[in-house]
Order: sequence, then structure tokens, then C-alpha cells
Amino acid sequence: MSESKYADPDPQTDPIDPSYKQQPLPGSSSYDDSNNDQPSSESKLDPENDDDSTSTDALPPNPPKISPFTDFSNPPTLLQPPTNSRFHGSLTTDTSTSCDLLTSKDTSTQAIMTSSSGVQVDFKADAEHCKPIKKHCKEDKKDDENDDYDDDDYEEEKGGDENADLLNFLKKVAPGMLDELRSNLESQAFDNVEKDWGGIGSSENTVDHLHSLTLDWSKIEITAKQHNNGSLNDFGRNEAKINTAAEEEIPGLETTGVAWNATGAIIIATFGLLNNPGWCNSRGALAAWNLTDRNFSSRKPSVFVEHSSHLMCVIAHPVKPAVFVAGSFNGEILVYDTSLPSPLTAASKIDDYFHREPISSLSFVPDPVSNGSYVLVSVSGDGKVLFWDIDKLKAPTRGVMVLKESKENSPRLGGSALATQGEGGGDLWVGSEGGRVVRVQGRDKAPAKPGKMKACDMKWSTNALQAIYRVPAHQRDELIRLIEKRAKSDKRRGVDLSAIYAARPPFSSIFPVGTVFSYRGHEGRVGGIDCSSFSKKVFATGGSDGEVHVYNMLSKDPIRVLEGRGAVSAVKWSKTRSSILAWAGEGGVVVSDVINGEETTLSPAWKEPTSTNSSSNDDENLDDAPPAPSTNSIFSSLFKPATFSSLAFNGKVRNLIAAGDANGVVHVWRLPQDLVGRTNQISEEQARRCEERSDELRIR
Amino acid sequence: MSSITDVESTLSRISSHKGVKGVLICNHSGSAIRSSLPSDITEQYSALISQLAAKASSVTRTLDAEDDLTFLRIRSKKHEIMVAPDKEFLLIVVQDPEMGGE
Repeated sequence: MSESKYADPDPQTDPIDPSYKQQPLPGSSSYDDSNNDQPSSESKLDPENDDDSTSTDALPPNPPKISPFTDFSNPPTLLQPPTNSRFHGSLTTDTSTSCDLLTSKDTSTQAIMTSSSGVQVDFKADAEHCKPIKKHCKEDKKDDENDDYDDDDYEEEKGGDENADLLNFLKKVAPGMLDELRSNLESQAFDNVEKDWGGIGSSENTVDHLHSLTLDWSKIEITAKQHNNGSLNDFGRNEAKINTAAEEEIPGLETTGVAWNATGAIIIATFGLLNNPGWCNSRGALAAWNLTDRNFSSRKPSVFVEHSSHLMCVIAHPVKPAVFVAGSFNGEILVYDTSLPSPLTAASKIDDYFHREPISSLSFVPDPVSNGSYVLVSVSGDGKVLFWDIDKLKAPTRGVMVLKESKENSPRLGGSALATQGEGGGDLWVGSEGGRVVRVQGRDKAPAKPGKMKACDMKWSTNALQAIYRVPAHQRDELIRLIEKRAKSDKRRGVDLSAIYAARPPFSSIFPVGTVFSYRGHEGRVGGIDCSSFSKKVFATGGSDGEVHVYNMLSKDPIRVLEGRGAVSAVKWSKTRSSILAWAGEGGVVVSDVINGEETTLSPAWKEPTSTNSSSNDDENLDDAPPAPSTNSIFSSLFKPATFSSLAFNGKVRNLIAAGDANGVVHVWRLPQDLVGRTNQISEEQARRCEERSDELRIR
Repeated sequence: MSSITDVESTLSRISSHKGVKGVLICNHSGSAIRSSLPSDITEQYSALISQLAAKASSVTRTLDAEDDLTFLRIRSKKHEIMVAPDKEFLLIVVQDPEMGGE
């Protein structure tokens, strides 16, 4: 409503009085003249303050002779008392002329000009002019009664002291404004915003190391113990912790996995040891940092959970922002919901039919049957790939064996890396401890709605029936008999998935061979595999032989071999730019453009704490002043070349990448635009725009 | 006359707040009534901000007829411009939060 007034420029807009510019403004003091520059210091604004700057709240004893506030409503000289008609004159003439202020700066002088040149307006006429403004207000206001009262009162008020109006107004808004001013100074809401302007001199074309996220083990100890006990009791698992927290030394754990959550705001990391020689009897941990939290601190994760064994990998649920799944050294699958006070919501058991060895990699694939849900795929050193429904972790829905060849009796491969194609429940790629890279048939052969089997006596659940359909036909009847016999002896009412596994069926019948194709592979452990999110046929692998291979899924030999600069333990394709491949390993984190061969090494270069906002904030956030042990460990870690073990592109905040290193530090970098933008053309266009902008600046 | 001094003292209290660069009061038609800023800047601020505030309150009320704009803040590279609108007047405060923090 109100904008319509401004949309129609009043044809009666007066030409600007040329005399105005020379004419000294009413009430403008010498002080005003000296302050042409906006960033004038505050002390100048308030001369009173120079004498007594501490008591800002003290009222001036007398009205200052020269007010710091230019009174634009007053006539040219302060001595002359303000007349109502003049004031109103300024009000009304302006109403009609201020409409095209946005387009022309000069017209904005109109209001003051007319008032200062003393345009006399009849008070009555003036009141009429004023009324439209009031009516305009009234239309918009809801409570008409109140407004009517004001309307009646209006002329009297105007006839009276306009300063009273001002004072009422100020009394109303000043406290709120002062509060805002105060909170504004303390607010950190915009602390990191400045960097993102994207203009000249911004960090658009450089790699920024944003955060070094660390755990301060000494501080976490106590809270973590409580957490862990709580979650264990809640969950009712029998395994007792082998060591109590008090006896245990502060572990020097590696970051074993990093992941960004579905919204790209939370980074989660798991801690453990990748090269644990034997049985793991020390604790692992999972920590989450919310980078957008106003209490964000790089040394204090927002969520911290301990686990009785090392955690080996972590993955975020593709849709639910608070749900993460981690795999443990003992072979458990752990589902965490970081929004809950006790984040561990479910855990799988350790069993011969589940995972017995460290889970090396996890992935979510869209459920081909039910839309919008996801199936968790896990691979472990025992050579099984298992499919899980994360709401029912009692037993995997199905599984396949990863063998060296697609023959029944070929040796198992200890899976060390897993990649899934983004769409459909199709093929999986698994890398092994020995360097093999194989394609695994991931498609489910069972019908979505299986019919009843003849041999079944008991009631079978849908999942259990599906499992039977996956068994080769000639083994089915025998297997059904075996399972039902066991189920009866266990006094089960029906047969579900856990009943099948409880019956100890032969491995080969329940887990079919998945291997369908074998690639050339690496000479050492395959650290990472990732499928391109742009091309369905392309995937990349990285191995401890220091090579990164890019494969076409249909051919045995890699289409490209890249030098990895030391053992590679994680490989990831960019989610936003098809040719960008990143890997992490002994040589640091390398972001490479596969097509033109350009490589960018992301160094964890530890800048002085002043240069990174995050670290300087931390010092404020942590109340106790010198953070002694943790910073030492950070600094000492800098002198060792950092070995990176995990890597994750942020799917939502496209230019962020995170990597975890062997010292338990999670690094977050911001990538330059030309490694993030969708195509080359975009970045060229941006460069052009940048040049244009700098030209503009130069002209000015 | 007491109300004049009260107005002045309130304004000077605001303008002496940390980081405040300028305080001005204008009416809804965009003419300045009090200001601590140089005249040309005052004009620009009062004219432009009052229109923006009018637009903002119109947007607020279009989105929800029972709602109304109570406060408007504009964060720019250099400043934070805070606007407290009322029936008749607008209080505009220009602050440099970076400066105030140090």
C-alpha cells in the first residue's frame, strides 16, 4: 500500500533551488562541517563526552548551546523559536516530493530546502496535507479505535510541542535500539561472512584453510565417561568395557573417517587406529562439530560419543541431518542420532553371519523398492558385503561374498574400500586389503513381494522369504527345514531374518558370490574407491602403492593413472564439478583436475592464530586461558608431515572439503571457485565479471 | 523546553554508544528531523532508509496482515544500519560493530 505512493512520482516536483547548496543548513554547527567523512569518531559526535567520557548516561545539565544533532525541523536560526507552520511545511512539501529520491539524490534535498527557505504554509492547509499520511497509517493499522483517538488528538498534538512527540517516540524505541547496539557488538553472527563477498581481493581464487578441529582429550574425559556409560546401559549390551576410563591413558587416536551431514553444516569424525595390529581393547570416539553453531569451537565438538572399540569409518544419512552411521573395529554397525541426548540409537551384533572384522567402509544406496528410503551397505575385512535397514539392525537384510574370482571356491577378499553408484541398487565396487578391485553384483534377485514357499510350515516374514528366494533353488527345501527346526527348538512363533541366521545355514547358500568383474587393481591396500556422481561408468581408486587409478567400469585397465605422492588412503570425486578428483594420503590432500592435469595440494599450513578467525574465537570461548596440552599436540603434529586418512566433500556448501589426519585433527578447507564451479565457462565468466568490477573501481 | 533536553540527551546517549557513527531521526516521508551526521549524508540516509523501511513494513504486512515491522537492520561491509520505525518517526542508527568490539 505504502509503496504505491512512491511508485507514482509527483509531477509537481520542484526544481532544485540553486541557493540551497551554499546556504548553511539550519542548526548545522561548525562541528558538522568538519565531519564530512562518515567514519568520524564518536567522541567528535558528542562534544559532551570529551570531558566525561565515562558517564555516558549522565544528562547534560543544560541544553547545549550548539547541539550535536542538527535540528532539521527548526528554522534557519536556533534562536528563533520554531513555528508550527514551518515544521509542517517541511512535512507536507516533502510528502509530495520525496517520491523519486531513490533515483535522484538531489531531490532529496527538497525537504530541507523548502523548510529552510521558509515556505509558509497555512496551518489549515497543512493539516489537510497531513491527513492523508495519517489515513494511510490508519488503513494499515488493525485497531481502528486506537487510531481514531490518535486522529482526534493529532491536530492538538501538532499544535502543541512537537518535541513531546519526538520524546515519546524516543522513549519507545531508544531502549530497544540501545539493546541492539550492545548485542551487535557482542554478536559473532557475521564473523566469517566478510570472506564470502566474492569481490576483488576476496579469497575466491585461493585455498583457505578454515578450521583445524581437534579433540581436547583431557577435557572430554569426564563427560565422555558419563556419555558412554549412559549409552551402554540404555542399550543393554552385555559387553563390559575392558578398561575403565580412569586407568586408560589419553589415546593418540587417528581420524579414521570424516563425513558432512545432509545439510552440510555438521562435520562428523570417527577416531581410532587404522593399523591396529591385534585385538582392539581401547576406546574409539565419534565427534561432531556444527560449523554454523554460534558456540562453535574447533576444540569443543558439539557432540562427542565414545565407544568401547575403535571406530573405523563414518557416513552421514543422505537425508536425515542428524543421523550418522559408524563402523567399529569389532565389526559393529552403530547408528547415531546426534539430536538425541544419548546419540547411539542402534548397534548391530557381532556374529559370524554379520561382520567379524573391522568395518572398512559404509555407503548408503537408495532403496530400489521403496521410494525415498535408503539401504546401508557395509564392507569389512571378512570379505562380506552386507545390506542393512538402519531401523532394523538386528540382522542384515542380505549379503554377498566378495571373492577373488566369480567362482564359488575362490578365496575371499578382505574388503578395504567400497563405492556405490548413486542411483539404484546396482553394482558396487570393492577394493581389498591385497590391492584387488572388483565389481560386485549388488542387485537384489528376490521379488519385492515374495509368494509363500511350499516347504514352509511356519509363518515367515517378508524379509525371511526374500532371503530364501536368494538361495539357489536346489538348496531351498533343505534350508527351510533346517531353519524351521531351529526356530521350533528356539520356541519362535515365526521365522524372521534373525531366525535364519540363528539356524547357522551354510555360508555359501545364504551369501551368494557377488564378484562379477575384476580390475587391474593396486600393488597394495586399496585405500579408497569412489564413483563419479556425473558419469555412471567412471570410478577412481587409490592405493598404498601411491597410485590413483581412474577406471571405466567396463574395462580392466585404468583409463588414467595419477601419481598419488605416497600411499593414498581416500579418494573422492567432487560432487559439483565432474573432472575434479581429490585424494588424501601420505602426500597430503591433493585436488586434481583429471582432464587438464592441474593439481592443488591442500596443506594444513598452520597460520598464526590471529589469521584464522576460528582459532582466535576459540580462545574466547574456552574460559580457561592457556590451552596447554592440546595446542602443543597441534604444533608438534605440524612438524611431522601429516598423513591424511579420510576425506569428504561437502555436498551442500559446495566449496568446503574436509580431511582427517593421523594426528586426530580434522581440517576444513574452502576451495577456490575454479575447483568448485560446474563448468569452465562459469569460472571464466566470473573472471570476466571480476575484471569488469576492478575496471569500475579504477575509473572511480 | 525540558522535552527538548530529554530528546537531546537520549540521542546523545545513543550516539555515545560504542561504535555508533551517527544517529538520525526522520519522518516517514523521508525528511530528517534530528541528525548527528553531516547534512548531505543525513539527507541520503533519511530519504533512502525511510523508503526502504516503508517497503519492508509493506512486505511484512502483505505476508501477514496482522504483522508489522518493528525493527530493520542492514548489515553491510562497513556498517550496520539499524532502523526503529514508529507511527510517525524513524530512528536510524549507523554503527560500526567491528570498531566497537576492539
